[in-house]
Amino acid sequence: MSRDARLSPSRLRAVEIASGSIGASFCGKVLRQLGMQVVKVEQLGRPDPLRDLPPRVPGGDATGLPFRFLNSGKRLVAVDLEHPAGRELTLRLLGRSDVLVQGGTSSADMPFDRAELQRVEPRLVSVGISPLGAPALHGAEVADDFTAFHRSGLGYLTPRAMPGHPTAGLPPLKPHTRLLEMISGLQAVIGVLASLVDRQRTGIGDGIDVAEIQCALPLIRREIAAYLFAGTVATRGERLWKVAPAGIQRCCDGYVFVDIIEDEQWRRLCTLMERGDLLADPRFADRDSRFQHNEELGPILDAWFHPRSRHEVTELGQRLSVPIAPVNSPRDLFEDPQLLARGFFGELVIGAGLRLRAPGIPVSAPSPSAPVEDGSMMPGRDTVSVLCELAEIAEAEVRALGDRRLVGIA
Amino acid sequence: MPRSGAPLAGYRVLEFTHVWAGPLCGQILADLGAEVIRLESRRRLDIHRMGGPYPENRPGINRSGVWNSQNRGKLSCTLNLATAEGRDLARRLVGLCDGVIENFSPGTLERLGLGFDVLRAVRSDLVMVSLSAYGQSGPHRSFVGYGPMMDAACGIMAAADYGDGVPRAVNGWAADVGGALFGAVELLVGLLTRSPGGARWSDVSEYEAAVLFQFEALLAWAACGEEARPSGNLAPCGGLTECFACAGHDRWVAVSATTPAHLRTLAALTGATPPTSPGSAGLPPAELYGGLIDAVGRWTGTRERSEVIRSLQSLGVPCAPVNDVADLLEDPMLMARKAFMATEHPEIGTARSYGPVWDFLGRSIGSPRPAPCLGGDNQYVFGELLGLDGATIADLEHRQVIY
Repeated sequence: MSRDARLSPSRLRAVEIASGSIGASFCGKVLRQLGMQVVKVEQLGRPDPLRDLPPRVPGGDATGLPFRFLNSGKRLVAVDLEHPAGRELTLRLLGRSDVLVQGGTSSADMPFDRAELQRVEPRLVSVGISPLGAPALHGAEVADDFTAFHRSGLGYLTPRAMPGHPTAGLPPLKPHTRLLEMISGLQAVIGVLASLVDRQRTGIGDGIDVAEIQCALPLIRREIAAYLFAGTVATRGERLWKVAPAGIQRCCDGYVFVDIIEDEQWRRLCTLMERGDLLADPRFADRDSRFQHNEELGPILDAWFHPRSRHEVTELGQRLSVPIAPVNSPRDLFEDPQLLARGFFGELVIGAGLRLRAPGIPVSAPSPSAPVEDGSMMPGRDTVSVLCELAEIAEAEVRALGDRRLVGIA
Repeated sequence: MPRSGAPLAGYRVLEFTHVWAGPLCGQILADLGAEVIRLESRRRLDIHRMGGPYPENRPGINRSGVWNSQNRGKLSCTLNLATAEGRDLARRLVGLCDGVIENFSPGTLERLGLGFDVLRAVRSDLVMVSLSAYGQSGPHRSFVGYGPMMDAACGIMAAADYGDGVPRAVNGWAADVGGALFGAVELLVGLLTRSPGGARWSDVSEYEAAVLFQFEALLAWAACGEEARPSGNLAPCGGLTECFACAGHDRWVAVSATTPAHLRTLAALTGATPPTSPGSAGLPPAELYGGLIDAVGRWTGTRERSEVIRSLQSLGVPCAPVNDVADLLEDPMLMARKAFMATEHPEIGTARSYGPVWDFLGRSIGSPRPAPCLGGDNQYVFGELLGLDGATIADLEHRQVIY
């Protein structure tokens, strides 16, 4: 197997065209965090709508923080991708790059056809992310991240009923999280990396397509199996995994989640609550009987949990290996001793003395990267340097392209 | 001419895993063509080998639908790591592998003499990935963490709220899946950058992966000291994103009207007054959508879901069926993508499951093999790979080393 000298991630280059796509922007962010150089190309005059996502820094510029977070450390270029000369310029950049990430909800968001690219740039690894997948981009159907979540099967199953908190009559719920978008972005990263590994041997890159609705399937493997092998259609109201007690418990300052799966954990929970008497109670003797008598467990647990704090309950419980976790809010997470001890939070350095704490990567890896200062996030901030250095175009020529409104120079 | 063959063909990965996050990480690599060997033992079977659902409702350690779906594409060998010989064979096997994935409790492999420092001596360019609930370090490294609890800890439950302040259960997906995907990323980066003597170990925290998914809420707190007050499906950034009941039992449509034009279209269709943004051209604030939501609900409530979707799609308003699993298996987009596959399993026959999630355009990456029976590849692993003869294997089986 021959070794390609360029294959340290810091020598790999990615171009990202991800207007409106959290998944593709996150894919680019992960590639950046792995050490690749990432150039984000925006359509001239039509910047990425994700720039408008709140919140903004009070007193800061107009760029929303989610955009800053997703694009920190990338180089920002603005090109008129709808003009043949702008496309040609971008193709020149792609010819000197290793990876292209595209994302969006329509074919207009993803201007480069991957099959076509494979013919002109066979070494390029090119991935596209969209709610329903590439073929749908050319159809009439409109979709976005919200409709994709609900179409994917995740929505119908969310939220799951807990004892004391039935779901009857309540609509399926998309939590305020970017779970499916980011999972799709990670699957795109995985496809890209696998293709780069393979390219070391073959010299050829792949075109890869990722659909958000398909990326949800591994998450609901239990429900798919229950349907295919037992004919059961899982709902929000019925738990497929029949364990108890399993659900939220109110404490004096919020909630914790208790998740007793093994009988041994039930014994330890009884020890924790100083309720050894329950061990002899046939209603709670094993997993199935506890599940049958779930509602009766509620007041028993409540008596011990309610007067105590989330912290006390979690610490005492986990000391006995009882599966308990607090229901955390963002504020709790920034104070969480585990996250702090592992240095999970990094900084978003906005410039002019403005720094914000922000989540880092979930890996204690050999080479953590230092925060970069992004400062202005104006579209086209790095057009000149990128086109000069990476596309090898003379600066005067780039400026002339700017005068002709083919590229944007901030 | 279309290309064939999978991108990771020729790479071999060993799994010391159980339950879900580790097996899912291994499955991703198997789907990409790596030879993934799952090391198991009869001493302590994976909980999912015994959890069903079972075809024809007949239990069996090779018959569980969940186990078979999350382990298809792999090989299985059995080794009793409580024995010194078993641990020695495991080390020898690592010497023949490019990567190792493990998701035992932090410290378990070290106690067995199979920690990274030992394994890197066996294989100097080893790529090793450890997945654990909270990570290998920190005060909570030994905390028990199952998926549903991690949803609570990572902040997703607090973000799943109908506006009544009650955190809702969200199925235990985020941490296991996030951890598994970051684990696969780390393993692939290791393969991409490896060099002799450059063994690499990645410590992935499933909790941190799930926390990362809450980045918007975390940024809002960091910037403004404000905690979002979730209100069901309505997005904090405006627009009408909601699920509406259609005719029939528990049939819903998801509607996403996130531009003023979409809002006007919905209002015109349902006879409502469109909410308007006071004094600006942007989207009206969430509290002004009540009348429109009621009107859309009345309109969808008497109509078949397919009719609702046809009408809204023809007007360009993003919408979709809220698929249950039966709908999902017939979803035309998923069928067009060949998202589901079937394997021929020696004990349960035709086994359908989800397939690899990527479409490698113009390239056939092959179809994964069925999930392995327990120890189904012992002959290959111990005979062909490690070169043990039949008598030795029989003796090791007899003494419950290969077990």
